Amino acid sequence: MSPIITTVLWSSLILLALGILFGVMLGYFSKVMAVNEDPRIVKITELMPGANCGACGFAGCANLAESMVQGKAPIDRCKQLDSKSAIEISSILGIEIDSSNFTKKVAIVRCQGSVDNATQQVIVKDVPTCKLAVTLKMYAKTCLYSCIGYGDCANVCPYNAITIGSKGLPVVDNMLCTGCGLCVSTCPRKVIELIPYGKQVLALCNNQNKGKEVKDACKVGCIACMLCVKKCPKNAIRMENNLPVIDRKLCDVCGICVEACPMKTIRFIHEA
Amino acid sequence: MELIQEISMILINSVLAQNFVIIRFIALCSFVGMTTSMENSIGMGGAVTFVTVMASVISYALHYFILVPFHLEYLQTIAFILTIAVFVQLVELYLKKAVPSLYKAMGIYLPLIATNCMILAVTLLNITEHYSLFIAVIFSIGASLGYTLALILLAGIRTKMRYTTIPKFLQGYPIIFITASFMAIAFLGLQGIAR
Repeated sequence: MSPIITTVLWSSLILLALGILFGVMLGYFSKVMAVNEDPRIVKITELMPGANCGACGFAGCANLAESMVQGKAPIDRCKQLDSKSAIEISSILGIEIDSSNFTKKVAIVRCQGSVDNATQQVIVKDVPTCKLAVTLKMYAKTCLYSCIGYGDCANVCPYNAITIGSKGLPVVDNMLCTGCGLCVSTCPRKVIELIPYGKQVLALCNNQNKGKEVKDACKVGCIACMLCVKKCPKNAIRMENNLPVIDRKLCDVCGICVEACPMKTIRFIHEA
Repeated sequence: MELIQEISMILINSVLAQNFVIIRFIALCSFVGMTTSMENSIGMGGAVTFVTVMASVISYALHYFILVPFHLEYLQTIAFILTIAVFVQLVELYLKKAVPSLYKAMGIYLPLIATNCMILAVTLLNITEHYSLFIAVIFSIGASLGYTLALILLAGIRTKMRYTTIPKFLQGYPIIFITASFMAIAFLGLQGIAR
């Protein structure tokens, strides 16, 4: 035999022997040191996203799965679970869950007070953050419920899903948004909200004032005329704080309220 | 007397003057990844110490009793990596059974020790420097002590760093690498104490 073939043969034989030796050793030790783990933990860990992102506050998916079994953490602690896995986990744990909580959620800016629409009281320049603007009362728009537009939400978003558009309002990229809710808690005016992703109608206004005050402040603000409530064939809309609240369970997205709204406040969103 | 001198020389060399992380810039991934808190870095240092010492003993035996007799020294790297990986698995199994609290605290980082460059570097250096088994063990203890020291130092600095204002373009990893390079300059001053 030529020396090359002998060398190759020997080296592969030695490595093979080592591999077998180590394999047998590991197999033996895994039997000896087997820990009787709760089989539910293993099953739930397999259903987890497996990204080990740590957004839930636990050290990885396996750790969260264990806490779920021990009842320390609710299933919706993991924001990335899809509804199918969530239902399976709930059946393993014997807990009833509302699977609608596990559809993809995205942030939506409930304000249309762009530069064209909202009335500006003064021109404010060089205010770095919305939070500071609220503290110093240095905001351009007269509406006290509107988006200030200095981009605290865009800065805080870890996925760069929010940008301040050309009209001075934040624009959410629904593909990038994971529904983590950081922008919701950051916004000093509470203009941003998390909603399930999908075609629906939504009143894009936060102004709790009535008619004239709103009309002075914004071209597209809700004046609480209640036309949408009267026109809705499913009675899915009710008024709260002078704003329409649309019940997603009753609404069939017929669009009658969108046509009826005289201020163009209610709009279709997430249209494909 | 000569032995004591050699041992102390090797220890000083591997802990301070030729510190694996700070001077040789080996095992930077866990250096940056595990120094978020003091507890993390101490736990990581302990686990790495254990694995390094055991892996250097086993790889030493593997090299002199299997690879040298068959003239297969060029298989060093792959055989040593195999050894380290198996050993990390064993440690993981053992910890899971014996010390579940430590196992949980280590989390995902325990299996990642298998890819810690320092352990492979120590096992390979043991062979190329022609250390005896005893000295090899001392060397691996020193190397992992130096590793733990570097981790603890950086963890301390990072704890302080949380209360300081860092320019936006330096936030995150850039400032850590700049800090690490300053630490390297400081450690360069210790070069003189080693022969």
